[in-house]
Amino acid sequence: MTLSIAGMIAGTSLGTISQEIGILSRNISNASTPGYSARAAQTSTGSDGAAQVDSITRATNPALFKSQLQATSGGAQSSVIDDGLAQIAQLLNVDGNGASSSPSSFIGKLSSALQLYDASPANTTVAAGVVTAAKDLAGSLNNATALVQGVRQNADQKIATSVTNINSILSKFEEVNNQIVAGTGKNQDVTDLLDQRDSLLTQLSSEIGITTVVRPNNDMMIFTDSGVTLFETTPRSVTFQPNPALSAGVAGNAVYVDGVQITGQSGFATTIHSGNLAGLTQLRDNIAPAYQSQLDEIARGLVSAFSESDQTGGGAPSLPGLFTYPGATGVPGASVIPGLAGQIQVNANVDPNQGGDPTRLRDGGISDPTNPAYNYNSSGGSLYTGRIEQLIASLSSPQSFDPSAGLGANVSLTGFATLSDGWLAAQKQQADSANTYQQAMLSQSSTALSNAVGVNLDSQMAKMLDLENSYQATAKLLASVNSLYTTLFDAIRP
Amino acid sequence: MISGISTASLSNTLTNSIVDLQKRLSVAQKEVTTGQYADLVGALGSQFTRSSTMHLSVSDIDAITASNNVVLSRLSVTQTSLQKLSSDAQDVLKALVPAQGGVINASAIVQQAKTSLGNMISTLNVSDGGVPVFGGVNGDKPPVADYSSNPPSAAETALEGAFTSTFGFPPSDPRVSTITGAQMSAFLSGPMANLFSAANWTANWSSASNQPLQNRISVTQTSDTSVTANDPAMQKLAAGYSMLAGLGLENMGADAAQAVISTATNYFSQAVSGLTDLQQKVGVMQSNVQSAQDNMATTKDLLNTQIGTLEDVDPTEASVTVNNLMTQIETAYSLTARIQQLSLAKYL
Repeated sequence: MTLSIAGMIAGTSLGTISQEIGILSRNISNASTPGYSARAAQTSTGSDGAAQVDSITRATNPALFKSQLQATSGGAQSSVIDDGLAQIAQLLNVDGNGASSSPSSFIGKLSSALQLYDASPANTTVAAGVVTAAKDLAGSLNNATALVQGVRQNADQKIATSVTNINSILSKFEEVNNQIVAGTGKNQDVTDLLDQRDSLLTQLSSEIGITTVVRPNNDMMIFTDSGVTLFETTPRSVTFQPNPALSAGVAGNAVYVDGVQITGQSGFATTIHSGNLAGLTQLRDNIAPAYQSQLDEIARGLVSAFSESDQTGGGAPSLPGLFTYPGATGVPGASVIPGLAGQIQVNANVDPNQGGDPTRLRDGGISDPTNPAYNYNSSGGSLYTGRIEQLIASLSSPQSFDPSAGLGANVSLTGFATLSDGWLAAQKQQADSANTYQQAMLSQSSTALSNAVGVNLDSQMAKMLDLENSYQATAKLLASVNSLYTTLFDAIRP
Repeated sequence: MISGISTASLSNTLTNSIVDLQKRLSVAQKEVTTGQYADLVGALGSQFTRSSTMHLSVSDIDAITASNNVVLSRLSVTQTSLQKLSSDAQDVLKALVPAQGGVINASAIVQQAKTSLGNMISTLNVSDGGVPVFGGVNGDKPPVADYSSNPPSAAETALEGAFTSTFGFPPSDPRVSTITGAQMSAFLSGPMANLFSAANWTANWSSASNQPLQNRISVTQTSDTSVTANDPAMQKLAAGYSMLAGLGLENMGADAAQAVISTATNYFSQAVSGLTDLQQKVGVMQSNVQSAQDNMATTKDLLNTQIGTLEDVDPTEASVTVNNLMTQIETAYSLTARIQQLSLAKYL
């Protein structure tokens, strides 16, 4: 009865074709779903000779997927660093009047105000102008500190969010991974789950640099890019304690995976290299504190440059003059005082708004108006300019700085402030170019991966045409078999 | 197998490239309109230190230039005043020439001396922008008090006191006619000269400070920018005027009058040469400040050129970039439209 077998084959074939069309329409509907891999039906000739669908496979390319994970981590890291630096580097932005809010620009304004005072030393209004310029300078250092510490606190909060994200992704991952392992064992269609797992990995790689290892039954293990296990059958817990009181000189807490420290120890084997977490940690623990210590040194340099010494040779200690800070007992030596830039202020003894006398800028005695030892104007003349010129010169004469601030140990205050500008701009430039490079990498690897595993509508349409033809042929075949039977039955009917 | 292309990446490539081109266009447009890098910080990097330093230098130069203009105006007032003091002294000297030959028109001389003394005091009290020019660092009041005021000035009182204690009567007394030439000479070189010593000058005449004004006239230079009323030339001048005006020249005998006139002539010649020295000194100050101004103007031009080299974009290049980008964007638009028309589905 080969005719009935032909009919059976045609019947099975119709079913196979419908299944293939089903897969095709899944591909077409997901053509623009990010991370979707094109499916293909694996067909073979069955025992009865009919084509049948054995399994559904996903287009994969492990090498490209791996490079996409790396690019995602690198891109996330460089972009958070770039964002953070962009916020700090706003200080350098020059407005329409050519003025920026960097400390160096306010030092320049103070110097100009002093120069004006040098030409009119008897004019109290001009003296008050110097005090205003000094207050603006102190204010700019206070603001810059608030900005830098704001960036650090923001990074700290984002680290906490990132850690929460990682934990939630890992627990979803556990669920999906378990289903995949079970499904693969039972030879079910797990392609949707695999897509889902890849998408979870991509999300995870944006938070933290990862590598993966696949074990039998499609079971996957995840490690950080520094080799610490994140997931193996069960997720490892990632822990972090945010520090809401983060301020200059106060270090943020580290991130731990199962008790192993993965951030904060540079050059340490377990320290992660990429991802959001790595970028945020770098911003919070290295870049922002480095700039803060420069600001603190500028503040300390100001206190020291404008300090007043004993003019009688009596050996009384030098005291903070125009610039001081709460709790100051003397002029601090050349080492960073964390957070000084946030506290520096203009001495009340010289501030007319606080009952002070701005002419003390000319005559001295800002530090201690009652002690004649700090009086520079022995003649008492109202046109005495010696002290004013000393103050102007102190801005451009070399003084000692803490080398740990990274800008040299013996430079002028103005020099130090402009070097600090250059340092910040260089950091911004490097972060920009690193980010541009990483984003290009990411876009290239995404394109390559999408090209390798994504859906091409036209090829799907072409396949559709094939299937349509097969379907028509098969249907025709069925009709022919039917007509053959009809002919046969007509022939044998009496 | 990377030879294929997915539909998603095809359309993403198109949209991404348009977004990227638009971003670059907005940057290029900003650069064309401002003539500067749109992102100065990113463009300069570590060179930003140079840019900051040069901007600071320019603002310092601007400030010094402004303060130097104040200094220059003061020095020019000083120079004019010294010139006036000198010419007044020379006029009196001229008037004394016939007197040295014995023809003494005492009342005219006394009158001229009194007027000149008044002029001298008002000249020494001249101020510029509220700052007494000859006061040194003592800027609170004019340095020399009016001589013939009521009550009598310290200077006048001291002179009459010295006269009275030497001769036993005041200069207004008719008995001055009894003073001999020798007695007068002794008085003039003794008590009278002593009245114009540096110590007595600051006690009786001048409240100026010996400390001249000082200003920062260039980035590196600080220099004296005034002369004070305590200069010996002023003391000589005042001594000459007051001996002519205040010793009762009208009533003196010929010998005594001759002694006064020759001593005064001597003082005036010394004063004139002292004033010439002062004028030279002020001239040097003026030329120092002026040359500092000129140097700073040159430096500022240079700095501005260098700032421009650092911060400015090539305007031609920038506008070419804008044109190119616009062409590229237009091409990208039409490509997108045409590629999206390309679909097998349309031909089925």
